[in-house]
Amino acid sequence: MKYKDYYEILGVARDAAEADIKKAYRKLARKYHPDVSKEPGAEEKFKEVAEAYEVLKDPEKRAAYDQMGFYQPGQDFRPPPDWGERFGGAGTHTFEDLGDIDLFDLLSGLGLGRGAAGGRRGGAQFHMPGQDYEVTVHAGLEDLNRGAEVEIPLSATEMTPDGHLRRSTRTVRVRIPKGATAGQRLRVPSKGGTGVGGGPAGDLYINIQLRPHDLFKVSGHDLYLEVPVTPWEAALGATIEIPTFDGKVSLKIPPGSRAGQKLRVRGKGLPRPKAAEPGDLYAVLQIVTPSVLSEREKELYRGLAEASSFNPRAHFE
Amino acid sequence: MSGERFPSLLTEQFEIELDELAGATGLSVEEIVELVEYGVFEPLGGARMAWRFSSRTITLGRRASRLRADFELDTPATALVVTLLERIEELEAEVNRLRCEVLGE
Repeated sequence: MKYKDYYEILGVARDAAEADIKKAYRKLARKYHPDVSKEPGAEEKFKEVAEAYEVLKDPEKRAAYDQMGFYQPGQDFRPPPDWGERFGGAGTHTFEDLGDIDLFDLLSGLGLGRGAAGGRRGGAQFHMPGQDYEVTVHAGLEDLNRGAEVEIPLSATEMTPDGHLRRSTRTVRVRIPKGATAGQRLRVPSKGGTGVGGGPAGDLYINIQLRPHDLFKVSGHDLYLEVPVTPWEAALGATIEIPTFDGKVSLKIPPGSRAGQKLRVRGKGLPRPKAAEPGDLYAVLQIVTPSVLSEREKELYRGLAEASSFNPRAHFE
Repeated sequence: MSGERFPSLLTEQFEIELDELAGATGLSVEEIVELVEYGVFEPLGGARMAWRFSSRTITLGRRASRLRADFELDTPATALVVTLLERIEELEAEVNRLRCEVLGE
């Protein structure tokens, strides 16, 4: 089992008063809570902080933790021999099994272990629903367009029906349905933690995040594509080809188009759920001029400059 | 087998009942009623017995439940935080949409 220094994580002394532990936790929660924080790695950091607080705020768990002794963070350790009898609750755990058990899972299992043991002694059943899991999946735009199957590795400490802790690692295959888009949540029933004593399994919640795409930007179910055009295509109008997820389509550039103009290509965005009308694709025009001009091109531009009376800055005067 | 139930998107299109919302969020029925009174959840259907919620409410409710527990908030404070976070997300979505329209980003 790997040691975690909960005092160090909260930045408090080992003899810190309960009030100081609470204060330190609140400060860190404000900084790292994934619902309010934009700090990179906030979610992982908050998990550590919450775990440390969960143990240290509870006098019983804090005592059990302190009695394990102090080690270096990450150091492999074994609690003292009498620890299991004092805190393990009715001898629920044999320490040979503890190698890959998470320290926090062991400590949070204390009360439950006793409950389970007590339940067994009393002949009554101890039921508890499995934990819900929440994970983030990074999907590509192609995945959202077609619907895709993703593999999600899950690893957690779970309690066996007889109250033992066990590390369980498995991979869940989940189909992201067509119609999903960035920022949405997917619920996969019964794919969370296993229930205890016949309790129902928890659910798996998937937070869908999007990997950036080289060409398309995404807003809801609409796609945006920057389309470079030449000055003469913008001025005279043109029919050009642009890529979509259904292959290339023709796009008509009207004469006299401006830079930044949005042209809507209906129904070529991302699919929506339940066969509703798909989102749209917006072509955003960008007028580009060649950085190197041939003599002939320069000549033609000069001719155009002489022939044209167009003044785009008339309103400055 | 329950494992064969399909994944579902938590969007406006799907509806759930009060019990399911409570089960999925860990909020009690009383807390859900309070959050409805504060305007955080918007049930469809008039009487409480007939309430239905868009399944996106699960996402909101799980967030409310998390914030309440992790910051040790009471229900009015939870309602306030959830509402403000929703507002921020709407603004972020709007900023993202406007960015999509800006060239060369």
